Amino acid sequence: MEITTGWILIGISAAGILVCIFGLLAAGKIFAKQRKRLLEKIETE
Amino acid sequence: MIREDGISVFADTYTVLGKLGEGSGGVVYKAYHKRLKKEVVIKKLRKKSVDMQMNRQEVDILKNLNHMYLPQVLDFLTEGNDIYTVMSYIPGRSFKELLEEGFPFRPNQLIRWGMQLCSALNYLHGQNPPIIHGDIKPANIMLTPEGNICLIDFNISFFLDDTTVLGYTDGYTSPEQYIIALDRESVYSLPRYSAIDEKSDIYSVGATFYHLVTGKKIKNHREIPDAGLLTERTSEAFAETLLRALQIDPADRFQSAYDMFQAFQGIARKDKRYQALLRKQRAAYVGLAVLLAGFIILGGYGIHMRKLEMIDRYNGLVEQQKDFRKEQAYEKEEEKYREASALLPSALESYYQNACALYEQKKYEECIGFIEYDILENEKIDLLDERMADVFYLKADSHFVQKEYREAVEAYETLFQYGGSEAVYYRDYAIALAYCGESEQAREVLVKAIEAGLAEDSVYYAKGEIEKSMEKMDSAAEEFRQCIGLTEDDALKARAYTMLSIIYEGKGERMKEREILLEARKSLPIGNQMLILERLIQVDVDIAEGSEGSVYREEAIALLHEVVSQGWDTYETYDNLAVLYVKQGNLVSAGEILDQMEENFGLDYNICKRRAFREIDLQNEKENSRRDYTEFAGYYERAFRLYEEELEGNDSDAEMLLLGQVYQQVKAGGWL
Repeated sequence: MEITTGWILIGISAAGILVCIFGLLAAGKIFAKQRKRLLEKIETE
Repeated sequence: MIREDGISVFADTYTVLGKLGEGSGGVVYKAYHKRLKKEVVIKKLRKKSVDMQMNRQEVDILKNLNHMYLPQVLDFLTEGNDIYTVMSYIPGRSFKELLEEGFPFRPNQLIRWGMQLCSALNYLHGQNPPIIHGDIKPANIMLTPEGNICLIDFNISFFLDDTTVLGYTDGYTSPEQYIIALDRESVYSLPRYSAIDEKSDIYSVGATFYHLVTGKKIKNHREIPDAGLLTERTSEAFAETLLRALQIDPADRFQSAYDMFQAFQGIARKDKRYQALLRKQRAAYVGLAVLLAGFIILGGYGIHMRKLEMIDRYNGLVEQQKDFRKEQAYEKEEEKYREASALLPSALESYYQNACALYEQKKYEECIGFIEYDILENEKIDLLDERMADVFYLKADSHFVQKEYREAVEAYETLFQYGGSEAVYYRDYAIALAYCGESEQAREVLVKAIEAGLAEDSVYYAKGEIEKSMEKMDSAAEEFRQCIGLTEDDALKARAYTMLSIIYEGKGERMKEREILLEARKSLPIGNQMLILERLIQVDVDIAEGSEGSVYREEAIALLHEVVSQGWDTYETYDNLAVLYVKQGNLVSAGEILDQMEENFGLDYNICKRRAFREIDLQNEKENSRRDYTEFAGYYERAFRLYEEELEGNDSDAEMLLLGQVYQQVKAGGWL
């Protein structure tokens, strides 16, 4: 299969979409932990 | 009975250990529950009025109260006119004691204790009927050794009898409770404050925490709480929470202990650092979302690019199909067709080009079959494509060539439904109708063709076909002549010449036919002469059966070689050459042609038959003594075997019958 500009763009966008989705999911978990840690810190100061 | 020295055993259950202090109803004792083996607090309620009655159900409600930040009500006792409550003893120190010791109440502690206090209040207020504490103040909030609070001393007598006189504590009591406690009649002059409810407790919580934070009690309700000091000592959010609880109008306070609980819970979330973190996190989410959207758009663009690339590649393949058709490289054309149709199955053009290739190879049945099954029954193809009219034109033409005139008419009619409106379509439709015997309808359609702009040369041609279908050969020939004289379209000219030759053939005027065909050879480019050559070869072969056969056969042989050189050769081309060479006595060339036939098309009975006939002629040229018919016999037997296999009992080849007779004669003559 010939690698054309169209396929390159599709490949980059697919990779980017996956990275963004995983990034959003990971951010959700990490950010929740960050918020919890900061709240605990504020509450115990 | 309890004595002042605290040594008495009360109700055979409690051993009084000592005095704890003074409550609103009297002394509060610490005692020991002999059966439960735990310390308890015994407190006298206010002297009951004459009308006061102990409501059993309400007592049960109180005894069933169970909350981690409330003491448990264990029992109610009566002695004479006095009622005593027995509650679990809460170790620790009260907030009042802590205040007096100068305990530094930290904001985070206050938030946690505020949530615990509101939780306990929410529990009390949620009972049926609601229990209003009525006396929340630092002295009534215990700090346990575990670091949690316990709200003690809620006003049970108030719960039991709503005619009980309310108490108040300066600095912590809500304005409405204060007014009612001091002057019940003034209730009617202040309708807003006509009821003591959960919001009174909420005010008291606000006042208590104000004291804990600032170290100062609110002297009276006219004093405005120091918001700046609150903010300085805690935070803006914390200050807002207390200030709302301290609103004079109950309608402006938190409407429930749960609301205040949530406000305390939200204080940490209003911290600047937390807000900053939230902003950063939101920005990160937005950034990722924007990036995601960007990649999705990029993906959409990539798909669009891919479609354009596919269309480009497809168009390139179709151009190659057209080029291979011009070069008559039909195997390569078919390869490109398969590639193109696999790339874009819904596009019609490559199918159309392949159908044209089949038509050009004179594979009319295959062309019709391809159109009917590969195109019309193909669900993937867009049948609304404008090319469909051309597809049906090709189908109609193929039917026409095979003399399937009715089917041709149907195909033309479908073509017009697909929007075909070319004048030539009407022309050929008119001709097909004429061949179906619909002369009148044919003339009407020809009028439409003329209205659609049909050129004069095509009009003559169509009239010629119509006249011919009506067996008016002379006027048909005249029309075809007019067309030939007028037209500059070589394809049309070739058709007109062909029709003229057919007319003369029909009349039996073979020499005239030959003249016409020779004239066509001179006036047409070689590319348009395929049918002309075929007919000329046939005329020469037919005329050659007469006296001067050799000349015409030579001409036919030359014409056949021209057919081969143009790439129009078929099996029949070589077969005719072999026959003509044999008839001319040129057995060597005949043998070469037969070898080429076998190489191109494989061995079949016809080739063996021709070899057998050639072998007979070869042996007949020799003297009797040198003749050897062994090879002839071999060819005949092979031909006979293959003949049986190939024809499977269908049709009969007269030449095979003749060969059989020759074989019998040779055998009978003793040559085998």
